[in-house]
Amino acid sequence: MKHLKPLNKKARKIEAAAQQQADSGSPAESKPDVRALQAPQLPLGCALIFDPGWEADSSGQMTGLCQPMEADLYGCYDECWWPAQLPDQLTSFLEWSDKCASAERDWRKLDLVPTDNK
Amino acid sequence: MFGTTHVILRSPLLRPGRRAQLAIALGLLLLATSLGWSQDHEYFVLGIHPTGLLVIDSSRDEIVAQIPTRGRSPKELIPSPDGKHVFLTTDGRAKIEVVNVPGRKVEDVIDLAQPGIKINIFGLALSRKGDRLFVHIRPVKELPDEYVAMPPEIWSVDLNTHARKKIMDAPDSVVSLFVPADPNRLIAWGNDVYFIDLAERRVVETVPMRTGLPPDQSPMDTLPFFNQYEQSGIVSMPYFATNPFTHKMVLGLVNMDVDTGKLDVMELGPAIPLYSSVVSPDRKRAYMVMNQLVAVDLTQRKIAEVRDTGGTTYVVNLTRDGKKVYLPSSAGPFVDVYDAETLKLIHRIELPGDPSSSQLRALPPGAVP
Repeated sequence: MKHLKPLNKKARKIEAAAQQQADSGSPAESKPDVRALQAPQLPLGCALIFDPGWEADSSGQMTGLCQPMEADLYGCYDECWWPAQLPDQLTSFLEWSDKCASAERDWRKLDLVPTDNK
Repeated sequence: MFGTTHVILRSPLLRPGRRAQLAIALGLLLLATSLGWSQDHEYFVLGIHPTGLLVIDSSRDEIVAQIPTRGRSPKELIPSPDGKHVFLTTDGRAKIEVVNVPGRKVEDVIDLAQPGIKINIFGLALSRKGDRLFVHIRPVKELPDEYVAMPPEIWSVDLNTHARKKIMDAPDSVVSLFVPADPNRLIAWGNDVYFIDLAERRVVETVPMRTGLPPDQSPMDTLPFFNQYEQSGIVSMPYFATNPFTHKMVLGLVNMDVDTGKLDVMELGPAIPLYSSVVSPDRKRAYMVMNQLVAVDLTQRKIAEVRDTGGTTYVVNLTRDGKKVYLPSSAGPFVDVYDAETLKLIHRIELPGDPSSSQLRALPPGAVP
């Protein structure tokens, strides 16, 4: 990494944050930041990743996951859990799930790859 | 009502024929019956995906009204003291909608966002008089190439004048707000439980749950999203902690009397994944849910029974008489109704959409939607 040099403002910020973390052993406390839920804050019943069919709970098993797995679509997405893996329902793809009243029954109606954002 | 009608019918000029008298009598009988019937009934409100608020009659276990919301995915639901209005968060917890329940419509939308700043609401409470909303917001500044998280804040909204006022910057990780009996206090539940003085606009007492604990006490992890407490006056939620000696995760229950803010913590045994809990009106039992329905004997402070439910439930509530327990499905369009004593499934209410993680709240006694 030592031969990489930051060229813009954002890259310099990342380098400074990484340096600060290395110095103090923890992220900067002075400024609020977005923090991902992770162990030990991971709620029981939640999977670490969104990868249908390959999810595991905090003990490495499946019994503690939401059932059926379609529960994760709205239950986790609406609250904060996997926004990066699903269409952005707040700004870009507002109607993403409007045709799918029930995740378990109607999941085929989901617009998984919206092409028209009106 | 019948006495007044009798006096009017005595006037020879106004006296109707026999058929008309019979029709009037039948009409009055039906009216009286329907009024009495409504007062005996109990109603719940529940949000559904994508845009709806349902009113459910628990005596018949049927939907009696479906009210369209303007935003998607209702989450937090707060009925007014008279049950005529319900305040709910929608659109990714970004807005507050004011629903007129008897009018079956959204009357107002309260948007606390400023230009260029998005907000998410995690914590909504109504003053006991019903004239003031307390809102915990997490603002995010939207820059062209970056989102900047700003300090969370607690605001109040005067429902008569619509005046909005920031009360204070919020403590860390607050998810829920509660209004105790003392009108000068507000309770915020996050990493710890914070008691706020509304006049001084600051935290005056903190009950440690995760931070500031002595070395021999493990942090207690709670998930205070799904709080249903109107039937008992007790906010209840499962907690998880690591036993400092065995290093194994244990399950417990933390109950708070909303009137006084007094907390009661009880350890229940090895961890079972659970999301939320509710206390019975007589305060003798609690019911916890996720993939199972777990009954807790609060007098003996131990788990009484565990029943598999066949699917995940985020929230749980029960009837005013404590006889039926309601479990809205997380990913199916239905609410399952269990017998509170035997934990047997007794009924399934089919819905037009998923309740997902919407709260399920009972309207106050006497409310006629």
